[in-house]
Amino acid sequence: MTQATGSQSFYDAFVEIRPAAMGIWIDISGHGSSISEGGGDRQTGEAYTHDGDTAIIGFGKREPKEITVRAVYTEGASDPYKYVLDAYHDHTTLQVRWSPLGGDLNEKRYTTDPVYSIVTSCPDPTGEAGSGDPIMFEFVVKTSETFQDTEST
Amino acid sequence: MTSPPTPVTVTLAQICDAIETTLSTATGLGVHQSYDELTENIADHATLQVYPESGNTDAWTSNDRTTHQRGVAVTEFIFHADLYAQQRINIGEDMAALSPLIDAIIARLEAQKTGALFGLTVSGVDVIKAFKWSWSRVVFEYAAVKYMGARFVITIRVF
Repeated sequence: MTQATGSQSFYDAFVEIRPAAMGIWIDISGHGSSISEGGGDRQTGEAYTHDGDTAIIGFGKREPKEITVRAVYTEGASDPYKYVLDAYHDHTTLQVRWSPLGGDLNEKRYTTDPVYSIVTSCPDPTGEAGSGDPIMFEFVVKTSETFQDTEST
Repeated sequence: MTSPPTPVTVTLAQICDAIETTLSTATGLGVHQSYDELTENIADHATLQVYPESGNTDAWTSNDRTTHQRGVAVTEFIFHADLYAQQRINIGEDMAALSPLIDAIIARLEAQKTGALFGLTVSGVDVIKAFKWSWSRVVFEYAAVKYMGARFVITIRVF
């Protein structure tokens, strides 16, 4: 197989959040430094028979996902930390959407569920004096699933 | 859209001048020169010369940015502050002249505690977010003359 030509590093990813209280997508790319995803495994069931040597495996439901976003901590009224903390305190939905290649027309993007996207963790910013790095914070959104679609604008 | 944090531009000249101004009040210093004031010989003692040496982005990651789409990039600038204590005469006398000058420069560096480091503010933003420094003794050769001195390597972080 010939070598892939469409690959790209994650440096230019386009990242947005949509707090229910705002009702619009907010670009946080300039604050965001990483996104990771966990969970989403499909449950399975299994059974063994007297005759067979291996299991019979059945399809189950998909488990929730946890999207972890790491971003620069700032204290502006329109900055990501404020939006995330408000959603965390107010029990309101906060969706996350990201486009790995940068969000240009026809590029893929991934969006958390519009109903089940709950901020489960938003720790206070912490750090150490020995670091010269920007203060960061990290939040986790638990979602029932993520959807893949295509950037249309 | 949220604005990337502290979108401010700072120049080498601004940082260099800020370091030079801060260190210029060190006790015992006779002459202090920033990058655009350097002379081709050492006219008086003790002399301090501050100039940019190198840089590096991003100091924290494997590319040029800390956040997506380069909203934040941790840029490192390395400046040299060369301290010329006196012309080489006698090693004991040279060291006696040098040591208190090093102490005086260290005192100025250690006085940078909070707020606008090196007194540098650009558009209301304290642009130097962190710094570290080291020093080593050097016998400089400048315009074919040897001087007992020390080189301070000051690493500035801007983001």
